[in-house]
Amino acid sequence: MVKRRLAYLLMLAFFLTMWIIGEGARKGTDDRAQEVIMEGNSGYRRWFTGFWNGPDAGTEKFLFAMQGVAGCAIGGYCLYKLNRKRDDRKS
Amino acid sequence: MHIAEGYLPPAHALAWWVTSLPFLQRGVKQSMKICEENRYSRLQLGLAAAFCLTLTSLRLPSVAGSCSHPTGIGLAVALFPPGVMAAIGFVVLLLQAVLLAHGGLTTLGANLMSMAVAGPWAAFFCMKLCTRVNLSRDTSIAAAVMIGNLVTYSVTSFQLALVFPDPHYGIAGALIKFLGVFAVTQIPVSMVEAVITVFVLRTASLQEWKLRW
Repeated sequence: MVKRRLAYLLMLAFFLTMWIIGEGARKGTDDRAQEVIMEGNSGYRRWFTGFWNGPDAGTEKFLFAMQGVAGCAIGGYCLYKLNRKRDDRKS
Repeated sequence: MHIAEGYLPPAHALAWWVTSLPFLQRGVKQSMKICEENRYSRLQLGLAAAFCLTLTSLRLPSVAGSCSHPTGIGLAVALFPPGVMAAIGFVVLLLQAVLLAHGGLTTLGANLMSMAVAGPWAAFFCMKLCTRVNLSRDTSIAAAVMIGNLVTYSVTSFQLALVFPDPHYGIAGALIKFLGVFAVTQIPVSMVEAVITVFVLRTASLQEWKLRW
């Protein structure tokens, strides 16, 4: 039980660390691909840019973080229930 | 993986939507069947979906000052038929397109095809092959996740190369160019994703759960 909790904490610490590093000044490959497209096709005009321009940088980071938190929360709940079922079966 | 809104012409966007819809329909059907089985299966499906949701929110740092998203397909492919990932991937991609303007609604068909169809099926066949040659379960899953991740971005490169062929070398030249953008970053990211997936499977004691493949 202690080992499992420690493992979950390690996973959470890893995700947080990766998120902090990844949200630094590093350029994403999706953005880089768009640059490559425009370099070779300067005349291309996007025919549709979406219904809204998307959030600003700070809000985007926040929303990505919320997505991660939601995923961790749902995953944590499912893991807890699954392991409880397994422990109940064993006992 | 996330082709932004408007970067695929209408004809291409529609073609990829039409191609991906049957997979999505099948994925939804399989997911509903799994949900009807029992609570255990529902929890596993929830866990796989949550894993994809979490991993796609991350930007993992990679070489040369770049970063990229993992695909999060590993857990779903390890626990369920690969078709299920189409349903999970659709929800994740739709959320990101609507809330974050990351990816797009017109390009959702293409993004679905790369991340939620081609990647998972490639991972599934890789796992089957690794099992046939008697590799360990962890090695099979790690290899499958890496292959699935790389195939996802290879398909994205192909989708872009079709629209933006190189003026001198055509589609092949453009494919190599886009692969050069994605592959250099994605190889280390896919390795990290493979390790995370195996770690989650082992830590959550999912070994004793019946793997459906």
